[in-house]
Amino acid sequence: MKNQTLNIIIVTVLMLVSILLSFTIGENGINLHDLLTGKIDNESVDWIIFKEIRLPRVLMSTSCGALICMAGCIMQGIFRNPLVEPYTLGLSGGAMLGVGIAVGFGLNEIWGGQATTICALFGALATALIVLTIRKIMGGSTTSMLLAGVMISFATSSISTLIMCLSSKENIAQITSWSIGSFELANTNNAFTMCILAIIATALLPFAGNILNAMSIGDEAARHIGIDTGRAVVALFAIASTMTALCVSQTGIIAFAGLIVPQAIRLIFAIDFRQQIILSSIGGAAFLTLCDITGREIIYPRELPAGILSGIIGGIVFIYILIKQNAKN
Amino acid sequence: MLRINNIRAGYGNKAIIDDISFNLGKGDIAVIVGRNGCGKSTLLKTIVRETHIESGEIFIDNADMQKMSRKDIALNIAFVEQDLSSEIEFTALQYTMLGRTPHNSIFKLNDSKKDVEAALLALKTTNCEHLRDTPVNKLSGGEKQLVMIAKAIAQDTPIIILDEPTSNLDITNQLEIINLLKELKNRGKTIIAVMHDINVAIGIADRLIMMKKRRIFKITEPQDTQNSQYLSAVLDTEMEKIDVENENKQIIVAKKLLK
Repeated sequence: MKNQTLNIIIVTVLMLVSILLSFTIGENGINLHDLLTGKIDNESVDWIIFKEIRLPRVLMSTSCGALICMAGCIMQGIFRNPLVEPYTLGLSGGAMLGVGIAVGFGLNEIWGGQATTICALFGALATALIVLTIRKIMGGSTTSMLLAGVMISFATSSISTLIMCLSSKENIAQITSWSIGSFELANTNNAFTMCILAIIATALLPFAGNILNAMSIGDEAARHIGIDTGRAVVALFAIASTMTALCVSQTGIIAFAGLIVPQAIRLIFAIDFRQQIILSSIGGAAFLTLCDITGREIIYPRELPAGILSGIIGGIVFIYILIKQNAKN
Repeated sequence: MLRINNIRAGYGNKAIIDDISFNLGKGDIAVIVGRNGCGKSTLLKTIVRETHIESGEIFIDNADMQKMSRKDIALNIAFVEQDLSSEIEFTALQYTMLGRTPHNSIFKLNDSKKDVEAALLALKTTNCEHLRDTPVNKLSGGEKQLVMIAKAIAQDTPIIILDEPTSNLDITNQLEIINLLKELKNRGKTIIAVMHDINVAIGIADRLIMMKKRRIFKITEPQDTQNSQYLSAVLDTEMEKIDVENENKQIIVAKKLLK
């Protein structure tokens, strides 16, 4: 219990530091002392930058980090494989295709911004259904599921490109920016909504850790201790897919964050899924905020989207885990 | 306690076992014997609803098992699998605690003192208390088997099913498991186990369930004088009863293949 609290404190401190750095680092960085002591006037440029640019950006990076890393943690638990996460299973690609359809065919202009989210949700859930069906046909093989995920990503990416070919120049630019996850264009309302959703998910999903702990000894063994694994897989996978779709609809594809963070948490802090989910949420928030800060500074004055940094780091971690898994087998 | 009536079951549309019927009371030990592929493991899995039951009924204390939820089945039957596999490196105590799952709501974030005590007691019963902080993936074959039984004990069910609990174990570990099963019987647990060692089976069983070609060939008591003949037919091997010198005991040995 003591260790659990300490772990949460350590990761929370890391998240808070990353948030403070995000406010202060870079061009037009806010002086926190001035902000907290009320020295910044409500109508000053600094305040507007804080309120309209820095705050929504930080809220979006922390919320998406929390949601996507919890989704990754849950998926790794369901399928008992450290290489499984929203991107490798093609869910991000499915959600991205939904966004492409909404933007390319102008649905968001007809029905507003929600059309993007709803289409992303349909895209992710349809992909989840395909992945689960393939898993069932292949007798529960995770390797086949991962291969299917890669194929789905290729297919959805090709269809998105096809949609771009049929779209206007403006829409092409929009779809392209969505395919690389970035927090640059976060808006205040959406950022607050995502933040509330991330807090609710972090409060409720650790309970699912009891099911994932049981499932870690195998589906059949989990059923012997009272877990309805069929229903649990469908329900948890649907929740994880929904969280992925929400993130993709707001920021675009953030590859591999859902793989790196839960694995690092398991390696450093905890193996119990109840704690892993909480720590993945807080750690994910810290990780993507740090990726965002680094991206802003590394090739300044230009900006490297957080999704690219996450993808580079994640790709290396993916190969490392793959080699480690092969050595273990 | 457990009543099985005319069960026909299998996987998908293919029936693997047929015409299976037997009853067990509180504290009974039933050992299922038979050749590989005769349906022993399928029968065990059918009792915990892991197969598709085409016809027949299974009652646990007059409750229809097919109408029970997964949790209700887990509150009545604990299942000890052949192998211990775990994706995450649980310690023996954490693994044993999983046996408490059906007793708890999923809306809890910490293990209760009661659950920890139940798991520790189960580890003590199986003489594995000293292994409580050892990761299960680092345990020996015998220790894994004992920790799996500890999980079943922590599950605190009236019925315990074991799929080949003594296979691949040395003689010391085999004896430890046998003594443990006798201890559980004395506590009133009903035990069903699949075993290949005929003499171990005869040594602990109240009832021998002999299976051949996916059906029950004969249900006998260990003292039955015709057991060697029945076993010869079941195992397609000539079996002979031999007196043990200076002990009022007999063992059954295989003489030669009949086919």
